[in-house]
Amino acid sequence: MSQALVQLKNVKKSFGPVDVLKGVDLEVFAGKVTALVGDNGAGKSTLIKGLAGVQPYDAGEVRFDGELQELHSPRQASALGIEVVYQDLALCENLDIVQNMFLGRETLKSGTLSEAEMEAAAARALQSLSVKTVRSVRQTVSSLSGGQRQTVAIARTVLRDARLVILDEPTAALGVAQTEQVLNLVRRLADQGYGVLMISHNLYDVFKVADDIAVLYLGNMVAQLETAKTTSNEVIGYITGIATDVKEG
Amino acid sequence: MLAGLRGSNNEGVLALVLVVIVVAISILNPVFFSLTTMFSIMRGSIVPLIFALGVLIVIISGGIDVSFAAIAIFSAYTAVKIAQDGNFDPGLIVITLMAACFGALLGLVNGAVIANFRLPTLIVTLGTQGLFRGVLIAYVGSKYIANPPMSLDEVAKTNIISIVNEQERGAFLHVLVVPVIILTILVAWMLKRTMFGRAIFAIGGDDEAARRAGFPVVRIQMMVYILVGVLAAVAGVFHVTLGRNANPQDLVGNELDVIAAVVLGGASVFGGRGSVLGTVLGVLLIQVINNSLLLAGVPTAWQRAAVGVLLIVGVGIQALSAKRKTKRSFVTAQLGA
Repeated sequence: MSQALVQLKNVKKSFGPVDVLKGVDLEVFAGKVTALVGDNGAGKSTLIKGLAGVQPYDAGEVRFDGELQELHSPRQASALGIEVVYQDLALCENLDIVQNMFLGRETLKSGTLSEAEMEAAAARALQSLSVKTVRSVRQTVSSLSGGQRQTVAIARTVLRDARLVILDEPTAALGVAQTEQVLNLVRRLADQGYGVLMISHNLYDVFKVADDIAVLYLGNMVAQLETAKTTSNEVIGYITGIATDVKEG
Repeated sequence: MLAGLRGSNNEGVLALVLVVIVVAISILNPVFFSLTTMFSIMRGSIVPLIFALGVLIVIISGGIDVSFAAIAIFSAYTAVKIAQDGNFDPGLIVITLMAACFGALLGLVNGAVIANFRLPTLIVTLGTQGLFRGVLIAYVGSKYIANPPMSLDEVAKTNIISIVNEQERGAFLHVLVVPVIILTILVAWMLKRTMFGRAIFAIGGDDEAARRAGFPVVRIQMMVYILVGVLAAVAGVFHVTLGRNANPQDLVGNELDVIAAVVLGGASVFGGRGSVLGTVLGVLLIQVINNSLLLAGVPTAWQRAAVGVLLIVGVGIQALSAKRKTKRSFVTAQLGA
């Protein structure tokens, strides 16, 4: 198998006396969707926050493109090309799609915003992901549906030259058709060569879109499976801890 | 097509209301429809419009500032007093710059408290309003200055357009209209075309999203309040100049007119929305109403009531259209599904 885009080795994190990550290994490949599953409190969010540089790991190795990296701030993570789409999306509803996609990284021309350039780039980014569901890139986000908002948030990472896109439950709170829309988008993202790490609670979504499935159980990575070679029953076994003999606590 | 004319913040509706009111009053009282009235309304708008620009910026950023009038009179009175006590006359520009420094300082006080301690902006600025006023009267002076520097008097008497022999009344367009127009264009440019303006809208829309997008939210909030302080100080100096006296008891108490104008102009009290064009129209509308009620012989007390009603109507329209919008987006969500 080719070299992993991101490789975590023996990553640890604790909050006071609570060990949330107890030496986790994880590999995410470019062009593949890796699903991160696990029960509440398994350490999924902590794992992601470490990769995003929001809450640095206490110990362990992070390799990006094979190179050892220190991730101490969101800025460092972003500079490497790691972008996170959080569940709350962090979009400004009063601004339009273009303004949101460039938020904080506006294109300037002699000190002033160059709207035309940004509009064209935003339209290109949406097109590259074959997004056809939005009528106009000048619509305000408040007029968009949940699935469309998720689409904008994901497209924003593409504009930011992401190489690894981390999605935190992208389909939570979406209806059936919109979930389908977003999952298709996630698939296209990977097909275009981006590495995708997706947290999900929904095994149907996971089996539909993921190439690999990584299962966290009480701060341990209990399994990294290829979707094609596993079943949802096996995954559920790992999630609930039945299939493993990890001691609790 | 109608939606296009309405404008993104109902500016079109406001312009229509303004025109209807002007036509109605002109029919009732033909004296109203004249250059004299127009120029006098423009003169009356000079000070409130500068205030309104400051309030617009702070409302877009998701806050409110009710201390601007106190900052204005503090800065202007202090600057004039320094000139008077020192027995020198530096001219309008230097006095304005001096006042702007005081305004920036007082704005910094507001901004530092609000941004660093994350306190509700209305309460903080209510508090600082009293504080600034108290400090002004206790330490700077409580005396009415009837004879501000000569240079201000000269400006007060300068008009850029004077039409004297139009029947019995003359029409005069005051020179201070020019700097106000320049300020208005600058603020509009700042809000629309600069990164700072975009940051103000983003913070007003969702400050957490703005923070995650990399905007230095605390610093931008401080700058917003400093800017409001500077604008207020300029308005204060212009007020002193036009009135040809400096009264430390002035201005405070008239905040409602300005806030009502900005809200009528389509700025959302929840932050993230607002436009300079709407604000200009809002200020003009309030001025026309104040002016025409006077002409129609309505007692001054009712002017306050009329402005109060307009404020409630403005906020009511916002709340209503917000409700309609949630309904509409629900429908598109269904269609998009």
